[in-house]
Amino acid sequence: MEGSKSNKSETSEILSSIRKLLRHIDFYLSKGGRTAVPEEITEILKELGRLESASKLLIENADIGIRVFKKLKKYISARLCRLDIRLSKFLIHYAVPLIILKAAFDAFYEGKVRVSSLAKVPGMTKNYIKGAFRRLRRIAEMTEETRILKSSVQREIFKIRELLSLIELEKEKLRAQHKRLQALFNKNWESLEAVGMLNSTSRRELILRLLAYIDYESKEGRYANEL
Amino acid sequence: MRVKRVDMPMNSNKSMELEIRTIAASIIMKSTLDKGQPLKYILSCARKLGISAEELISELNRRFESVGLKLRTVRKSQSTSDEAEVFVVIDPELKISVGMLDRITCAVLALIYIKAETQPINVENIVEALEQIIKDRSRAKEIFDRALRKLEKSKLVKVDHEKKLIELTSKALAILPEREDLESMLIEVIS
Repeated sequence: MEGSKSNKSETSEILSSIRKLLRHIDFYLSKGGRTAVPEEITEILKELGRLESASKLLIENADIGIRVFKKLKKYISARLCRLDIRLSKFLIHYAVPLIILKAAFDAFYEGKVRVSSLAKVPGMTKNYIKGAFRRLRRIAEMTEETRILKSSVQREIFKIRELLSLIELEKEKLRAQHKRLQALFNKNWESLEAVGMLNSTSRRELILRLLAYIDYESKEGRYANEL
Repeated sequence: MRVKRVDMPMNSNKSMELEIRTIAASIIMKSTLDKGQPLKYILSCARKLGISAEELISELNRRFESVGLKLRTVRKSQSTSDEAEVFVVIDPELKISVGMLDRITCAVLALIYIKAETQPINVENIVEALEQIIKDRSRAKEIFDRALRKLEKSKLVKVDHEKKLIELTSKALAILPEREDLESMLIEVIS
C-alpha cells in the first residue's frame, strides 16, 4: 500500500513538473525567444532526465508525452535560432572595429585624409612649381574659352534679334493679305498663284515668309479666324 | 608589431656627434616654426666645437641632403651676414611634386619672386604680370587677392597695406628655387 502511495505522489510530482515546464516553454516561445532562458526550464529538464519513472510516464501517457516532445522541439529550435543570431551579432561586433581600422588606414594610405604633423618641413619642388604655372595657363585658356563663348552667344542673340525683326516686318505685310495666304499655305500649293509666288521669291524671302506665317498663325491668325 | 629602436653608429667623438645632431634638430624645429636659425648661432656652435663654420655647414648640409632636404642660408640684401638665417627646406630638385601651398598660390609666390626678388614691390606690378598671363584683369585681381591672403597667413610675404607694397620673407626666399630656374619654367609653360 505504502509503495503504491509513494508511486502516486511521485507521478503527481512529475506531472506538476511537466506542467510547470510546459508553462515556462510557452512563455519563452510567446516572447519569440527574446527573453533570457528561465532557469526553471533547465532545472526541470535536469530533474526529469534523472528520473526513470518520468520517461516511463511520458511513454505510458502518450498525450502528455507527444505534447512535451512537440514543445521541446519548438523550444530547442527557437533556442538554437537565438544562439545563431547572437553568434552572428558577436561576429559583427568583433569585425566592426577591424573594418573601421581598415577603412581609416586606407583613407590615410591613399591620401584622402591628410595627417598634419607638428613638425612640417617647408618647401616646394620645381615639379610642383611647374604644375602651378601650368594651372595658371589652364586658367588663362579657360578665361579665353569663356570669352569666346560669351561673344559667340552674343553674336547668336544679335542674329536672332535681327531675324525676329525681319519676321515682324513680314508679319506686318501678312496682316493685309492673311486670308489669301492662309488659303494658299493650307491647301492650294499647286495653284498657279502659289507656283508663281514660289518662283518669284528668293529662298531667304520664302523662309522668312513661312516663319512669319507660322508665328502670325499661332498668335494673331487664330484670333483673325475667330473673328 | 614591436619596433626595435636602433641607434645610429656614433663617431669616436661622441660629444661632437651629439652637438651636430642637436644643431641639426634645432634648425629643423625653427624651420617648422616659420623661422630660421640665426647664422650667428651656427657660427658660435662651430667655435665651440673647434671647427670652422664652413666645415660645420657642409657637414650639416651633407646630412640633410642624404634625406632629401637642403640647408639654405638666406641673406636679405640690406642685412649683414650676422642677420642671415639658416633654414632647412625640401630639396626643390627632387623629382616629386610637393608643395606647402595650393598650386595657384604657389604660382603667385613664384611670380612675386621673379618680379621682385628680395626687394619690396608694388601690388599693381604683380597684378599686371598676372593679367598678362591670364589676359583678364578682374580674374587676375581675384586670384591675386585670394593668394595674397594665404601667403600672408603662411608668413611668406609681408604686406604694407598703406603703401601697397609686398616683400618676401626669409622663409619664402628659402623655399623657392633659383630665380633663373623659375623664369625659364614660366617661359616654357606659358609661351
